[in-house]
Amino acid sequence: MSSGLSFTGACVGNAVTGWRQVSDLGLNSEATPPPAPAPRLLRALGSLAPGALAIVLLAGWEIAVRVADVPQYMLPAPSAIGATLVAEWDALRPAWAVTLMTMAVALLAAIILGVPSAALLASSRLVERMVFPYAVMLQVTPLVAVAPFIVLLIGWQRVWWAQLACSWIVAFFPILSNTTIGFRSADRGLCDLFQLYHASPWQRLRLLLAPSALPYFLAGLKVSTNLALVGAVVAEFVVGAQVDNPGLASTIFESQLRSDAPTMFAALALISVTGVMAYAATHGFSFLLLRRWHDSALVSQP
Amino acid sequence: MDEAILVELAKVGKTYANGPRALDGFSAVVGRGEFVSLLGPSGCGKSTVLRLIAGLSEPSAGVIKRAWTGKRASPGDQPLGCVFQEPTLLPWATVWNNVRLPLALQGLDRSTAAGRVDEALELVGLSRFARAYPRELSGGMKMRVSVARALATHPQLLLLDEPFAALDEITRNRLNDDLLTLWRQRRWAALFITHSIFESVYLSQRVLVMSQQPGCIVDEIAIDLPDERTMDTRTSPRYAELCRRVSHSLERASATP
Repeated sequence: MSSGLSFTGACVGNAVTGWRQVSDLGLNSEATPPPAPAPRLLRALGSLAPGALAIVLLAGWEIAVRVADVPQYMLPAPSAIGATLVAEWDALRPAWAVTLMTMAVALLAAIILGVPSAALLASSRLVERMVFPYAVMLQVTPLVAVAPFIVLLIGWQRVWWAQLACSWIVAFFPILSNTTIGFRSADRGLCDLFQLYHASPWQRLRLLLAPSALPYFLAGLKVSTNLALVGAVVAEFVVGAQVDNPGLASTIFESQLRSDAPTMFAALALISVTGVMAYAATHGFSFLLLRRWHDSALVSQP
Repeated sequence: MDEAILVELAKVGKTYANGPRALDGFSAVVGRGEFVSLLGPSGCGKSTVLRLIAGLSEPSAGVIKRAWTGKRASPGDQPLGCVFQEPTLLPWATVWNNVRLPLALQGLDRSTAAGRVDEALELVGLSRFARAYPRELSGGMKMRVSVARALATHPQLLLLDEPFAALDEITRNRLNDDLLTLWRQRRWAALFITHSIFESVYLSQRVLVMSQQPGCIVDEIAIDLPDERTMDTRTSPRYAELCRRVSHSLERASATP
């Protein structure tokens, strides 16, 4: 009798907690508690995991270098790289600034030119068919092959501008192509609605097309930010060490000529840090803009 | 044009560029404050009728007369409101801003629009959810927002294109009841597109039955049930009789090639 009564209870409870159904059906005489949510401590530890791995790896590296007595010009120990970072900071800091500046300005230019170009491409199939093949060509030709020509064209007097151009070329395309698709992806029903209420072209762009394109633009931005760094680094390798304001990659190049492995590694570490920072910044920025409405930013429920 | 008539379609035809003839010789009238259902088999061009009236596409033959053309509406008013099959809400805007959209598109500023937005949300019973985002709402609630948005501009004619077809029956019945209550209060005219016989009889004062493509009106059935419609209406003999009548008519319409 009691199982008949509790069966309805199970149906109600079923939607909320699956475990109750089992116990109420009488398959399990004692009520089992729901699985406890992961404790805060465990989650906090989880977020520390990558850092812990880094410590283990660095310690292993340090020990291996010391035990095997690897010469410093082949592989310096992490402690030696750290010491070089501090000792050479006055040379590394301006180099870092150069690379960061190349990357940032290139990215900004890619956005400023890419978004309006995308709007133009999206507004006319003819323009798209005319221009898009060249945009693709720009993208698929390896930058390393094109870079010397860019340096030649822009000239050694303005070599930083050549570096900027290299970085821009690779950063431009993902923003252009993604944002073009974004502008095109506005919901048909919403387009009808805007037409029904006689929206002006400007209102359509601002209230419908731009927000529709935003997630696509942000996806492009994530790719472009890291490509801008790649572009900046490749350009520095092409121009080599003989520049007035060397960037981080030029520093690596130049240190290699002097067999100064610790400085090479120190510059490499800064490039990695830059990449990680850029990645975190764009992902955080994207999440902030999309978290309330876009599925891509949906936080999964624990 | 007769004062009592809101929209008149006279021998309207629509042929799409890629071939199919959607409508041929379609004539119909919607009067002021009248609730009319347009019933037809799927693919008969019902939605085309709606798009033509809404001005979203142009007829290839015939004339559409709209009582409001050339007349100035007061600020914020729109003669036409539309509820589509999908809620078609802006996913990046709150419920409140979604309802405000048609007013914003007419250049009404936030404070001027606020009264109408709050009123419309009150009508559909969603005042508490003004700050929610569409994805936080259920399917039925999204459709309510869509109805509120259409009503915010105080339309003279509300076009509804199978608005609740994607919802479960319980939610659909409740939304239909709420829609009727609103209609009795406000008396805008409504053109309700549906493929459900029961829905069309339950809601309207007049049912127009459409033929297969190319669509035209083949029958018109006056629904002489009292305006106040309840659960009892659904079980009354007269309701059953009217449903049978509409059903026969629809069967004949679907049979003719």
